[in-house]
Amino acid sequence: MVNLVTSDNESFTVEKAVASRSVLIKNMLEDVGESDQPIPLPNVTASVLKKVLEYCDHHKNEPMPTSEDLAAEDTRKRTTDIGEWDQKFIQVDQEMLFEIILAANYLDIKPLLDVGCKTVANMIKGKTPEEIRKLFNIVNDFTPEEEAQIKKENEWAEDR
Amino acid sequence: MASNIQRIPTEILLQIFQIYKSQKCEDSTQHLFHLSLVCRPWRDFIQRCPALWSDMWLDVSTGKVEQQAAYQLERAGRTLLSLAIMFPWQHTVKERGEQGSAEPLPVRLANTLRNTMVRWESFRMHARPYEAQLFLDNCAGYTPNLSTIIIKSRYVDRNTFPPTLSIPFQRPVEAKRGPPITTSFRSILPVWSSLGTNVTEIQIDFTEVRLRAAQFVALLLSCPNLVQLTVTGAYDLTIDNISDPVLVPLPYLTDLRVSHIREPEYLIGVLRLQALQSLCIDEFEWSPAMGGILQNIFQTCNSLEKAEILPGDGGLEIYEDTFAQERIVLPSLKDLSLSAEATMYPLLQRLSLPQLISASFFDIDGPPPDSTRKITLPSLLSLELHGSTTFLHYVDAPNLVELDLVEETRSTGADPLRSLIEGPRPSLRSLWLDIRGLTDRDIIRCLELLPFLEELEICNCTVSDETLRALAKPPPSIWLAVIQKGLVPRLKSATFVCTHITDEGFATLVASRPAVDWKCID
Repeated sequence: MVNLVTSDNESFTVEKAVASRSVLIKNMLEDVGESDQPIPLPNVTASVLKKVLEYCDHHKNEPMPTSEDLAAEDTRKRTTDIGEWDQKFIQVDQEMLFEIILAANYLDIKPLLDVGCKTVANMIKGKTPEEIRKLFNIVNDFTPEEEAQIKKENEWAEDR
Repeated sequence: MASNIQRIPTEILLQIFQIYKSQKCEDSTQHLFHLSLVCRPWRDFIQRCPALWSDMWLDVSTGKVEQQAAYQLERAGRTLLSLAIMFPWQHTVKERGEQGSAEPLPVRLANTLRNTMVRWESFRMHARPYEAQLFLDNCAGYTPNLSTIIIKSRYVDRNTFPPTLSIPFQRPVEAKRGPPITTSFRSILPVWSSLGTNVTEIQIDFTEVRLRAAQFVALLLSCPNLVQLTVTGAYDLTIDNISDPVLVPLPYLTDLRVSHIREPEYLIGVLRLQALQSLCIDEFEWSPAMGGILQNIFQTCNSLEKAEILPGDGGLEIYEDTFAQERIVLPSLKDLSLSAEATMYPLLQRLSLPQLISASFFDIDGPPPDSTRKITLPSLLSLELHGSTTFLHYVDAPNLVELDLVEETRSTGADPLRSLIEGPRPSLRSLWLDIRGLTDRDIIRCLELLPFLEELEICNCTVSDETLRALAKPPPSIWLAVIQKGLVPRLKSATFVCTHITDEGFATLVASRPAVDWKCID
């Protein structure tokens, strides 16, 4: 078993197979060897880690992605398909969604990061710039003149 | 309230944008344009991120393709490029009102893109042969990173031969090994420069034009390191045969697929193969020459693991002499699909298939010839039969676990099935029966002998509630089941399709054995 301590000082004791879905933790365990020492995770809160561990537990028996898998995924022709379980898992509020993405990035859990990025990409899909701003609470910092200028610069891309 | 998305680092934002823009494989610049209108930080990031501009989908029909190419190249920096140039089929270059320009568009595009060739990772073009050649003639040079080439053309007159297209791409000496190149062509035949030695995969589609075998042979001779070859034709278009055949050694070819070519012997006959692992020939006309070629492949390719030999409807005369008398051992073959009984029996009689795991036999019209001996398949786990199930009399498969039988016209009922089951009594786990006219009595008698069955599907049989009642009561244990002749105690799922069972009978069955996944489909 592995003991993980979050930024808000909560402890989680989990199977090594679950914790090792995180490449960061896996490497730490390999470096330290057998030890009872808790592993501090200063960038992850308890509520987020709980969610991340739920993901890791569900996928614990799957083979870890190889460098070849990651290289293939890293190219342009990615799909936006998300597995059924993962879709349900990632149905969280927007704040938690981005917390999970940040945690997956920090803990180096590529498949979870991928699920998060695909979810955000799907949220953007089919929306106008104004709808995207509204969705993510982004302030439109262009002046009307700038906006018109950008549209003019890109007019070859319009109406196609 | 702060925006959550603006908290994430740019490398993650890049991932999100890359996924977003790849949602359509076509032009992604419009997606990027949309995103860059959201806010200034996004616009700055998109403008400064070359990785987002590396997919160039240049659709000539927009009339703004040159502007787009210049804009994207400026932003793509030094990244590897995935280039697609799509000319519309409907108009010629001159018809698009280019009288004012000194050079035709393919030449102008080539001039714009030529300096980036060293960064091409993928090249795709949809164009008429004239337009494609015009572009390529102006793009001779080194392409050390190129790993994918797709060129699709279109022809109106189906009886013309495909034009050849000179592809002037090359690898510099120091990059000769470089990445392997996969290619796909429609209605044109490529003529390679030295790049042919790097080509490991060719897909060629001749559904619109006739094939000239001599040109095809020349193409293969220029690609000695081919690993995969797929040729698709149109059954009604004949091949122009070679008067003076040349042998083409392809020592590394592992996958060969020839589809809808009526006379594949003109193509396959010239190949010298030794590493083949997968062979698929479908929709062709049987001939003694094809029999000889197949036999030759079987004798020389010991590594063959998969073979699909599926001729079309024509040419079903029996060629008893097609195959030599000596026995041919296929030591690695695991998966075999055959159709057309006229050739199936003579072929199977001569093959020894010690490792065959899965077999599918199609279009079996009647009982085998009188001289047919029993075929022993010691490793066979899965068998699929379409046509006359009398074939089962001639199969000895003691380890069979999956059996799929389809017989559209009832001729023999359950007898062959019983003969298979009652013989060495294989431990069938899965049974699919689609035999018109099979009765409750036939099915119950079979199921009585299959105590290990886990999956059952019954389609188009005259099954009624009588079978359901027999299935309804599971015996208390498997061994008792065998003694009591109870029905399939290990059953996990069963499906009935288009049978004569009633809703009440089905409901009773489901209630009596809730652990089984029952389905009834009209």
